[in-house]
Amino acid sequence: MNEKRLIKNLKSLEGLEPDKSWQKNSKVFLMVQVDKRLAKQTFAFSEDTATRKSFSRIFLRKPFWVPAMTVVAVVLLAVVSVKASQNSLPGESLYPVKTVFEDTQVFLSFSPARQAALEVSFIEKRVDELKQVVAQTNEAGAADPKKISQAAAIVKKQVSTTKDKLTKLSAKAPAESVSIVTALVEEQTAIFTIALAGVIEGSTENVPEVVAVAKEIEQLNLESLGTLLDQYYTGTTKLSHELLTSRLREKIVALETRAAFLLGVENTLAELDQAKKDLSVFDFRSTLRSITLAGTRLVELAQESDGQPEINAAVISAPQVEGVKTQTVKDVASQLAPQEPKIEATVTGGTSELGENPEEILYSIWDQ
Amino acid sequence: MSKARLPEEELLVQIRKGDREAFEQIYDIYSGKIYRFIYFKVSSREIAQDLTSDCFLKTFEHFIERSAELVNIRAFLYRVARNLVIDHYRGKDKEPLKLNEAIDYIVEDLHEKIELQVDREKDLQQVATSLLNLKAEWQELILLRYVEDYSIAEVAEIINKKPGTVRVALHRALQTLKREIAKIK
Repeated sequence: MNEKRLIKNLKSLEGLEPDKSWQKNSKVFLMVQVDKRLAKQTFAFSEDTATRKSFSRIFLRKPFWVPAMTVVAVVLLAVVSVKASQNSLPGESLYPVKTVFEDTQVFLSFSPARQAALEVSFIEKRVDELKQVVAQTNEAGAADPKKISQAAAIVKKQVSTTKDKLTKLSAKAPAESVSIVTALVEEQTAIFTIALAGVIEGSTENVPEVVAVAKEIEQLNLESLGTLLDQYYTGTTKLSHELLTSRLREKIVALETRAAFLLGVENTLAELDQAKKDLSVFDFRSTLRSITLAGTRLVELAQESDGQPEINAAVISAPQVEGVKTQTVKDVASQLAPQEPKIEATVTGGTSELGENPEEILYSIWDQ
Repeated sequence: MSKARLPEEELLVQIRKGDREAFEQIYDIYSGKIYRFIYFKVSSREIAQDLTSDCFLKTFEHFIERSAELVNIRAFLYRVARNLVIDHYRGKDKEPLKLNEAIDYIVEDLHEKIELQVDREKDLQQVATSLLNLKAEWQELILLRYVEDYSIAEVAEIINKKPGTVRVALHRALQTLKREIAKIK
């Protein structure tokens, strides 16, 4: 092979391109992350811009300095208020500034996917506020139910707003975008639930409001997982088999960890064993059902335990039975047994039926 | 409405201002190139996809946190990609693929992605196989210069070497590649 031909052949290797659908989906996912990050940066940028205005330059242009100073003063006042409001907590005077600023961020994000991602990031903020309120009342020596209730109600409202945005997203956006945002919601809500379990465990007194919030977030988490499973089984989008396996495995491990601190959890552990068996044969819906039942056992245990913080903390990492029955399992189960649909999965060099030889199947996360 | 494609220096300015569309353009320009760069190192579509996504996320994080330090987007992306591959293989259970397995994957991909006549297909297989036999530095040089078509100066910027050094190393790499191909024949 002479050098010219070699170079021509090397150039042909440019044809080893990434899959177009992966490229597109990966871009959507990336931009959702970018939007989340930029949303955090927005006011920092505004502040920079405002403070860079040189006062002396404004004074030199005398004919304009009065209106210019007024504008700068208004901008500075707004920026300072927004900045100061970022650390405010529910019930404080600057708190409405914070929420109005967030509403504006959502309003200015025209894409439903970006709006949904922003709403999820706001749940994180609300959960953080709730943590601070509980910590403050703990420091004061006794939990203040009024303050905690107020902060908890705000988290619940944010969860509800996020659900609305997800519903709108499902109606408007392409299936791939819905999958990506739903996966993000599932991932984030799992983290928030763990954070709230820590709040409950760390609280000196019973905090039923926080338990209720955690259960709502857990419900959203399970709804998201149910949606992902639904999309996987109906082939709306080809979600990664590995992604679903890892999410379900994480839930089993979380429940096992929680159950390990409690007595009388034999039934829970039996359900978790069943979940592991179901997962080992990639029967995701049965796995979710077993996880849900394990959660039920923990809820029953909590009801008998008179609401001790450590029991409640264990319970909130467990799925909410009622919620799952109406929101997730019901929908998912209706399409489940008796016949499992054939799942076409991307494999190296062709397609294969799921379950035929699963360990050899190489799935790509957002592959079409 | 999407913006017209801007020169990279201008894109950098826009990103520093928090312009998401500028970052989108960076992704459009480089996602395929970075994917290929990683793919030749890991020989797996799935791993290359994951690491490519990570590469852009990390790059964006860097833009946000330390944009003033960043002067060459292209060089930075390749550096992040190279580090991600190194980190990937640091895991205990992530041994690099054996050469023959890696070659199998790439040849299979070549079949799928590139439509060729039989004689050229054989040629391409030989080239890909021989390329994988080269040491990593030479593989990178050949990939950047002859597959991605960057100039010597651009390759030098990416790998942070002098153009003269790149020229000499490329010559050696190409000669070695020829010898490897001859061995297969």
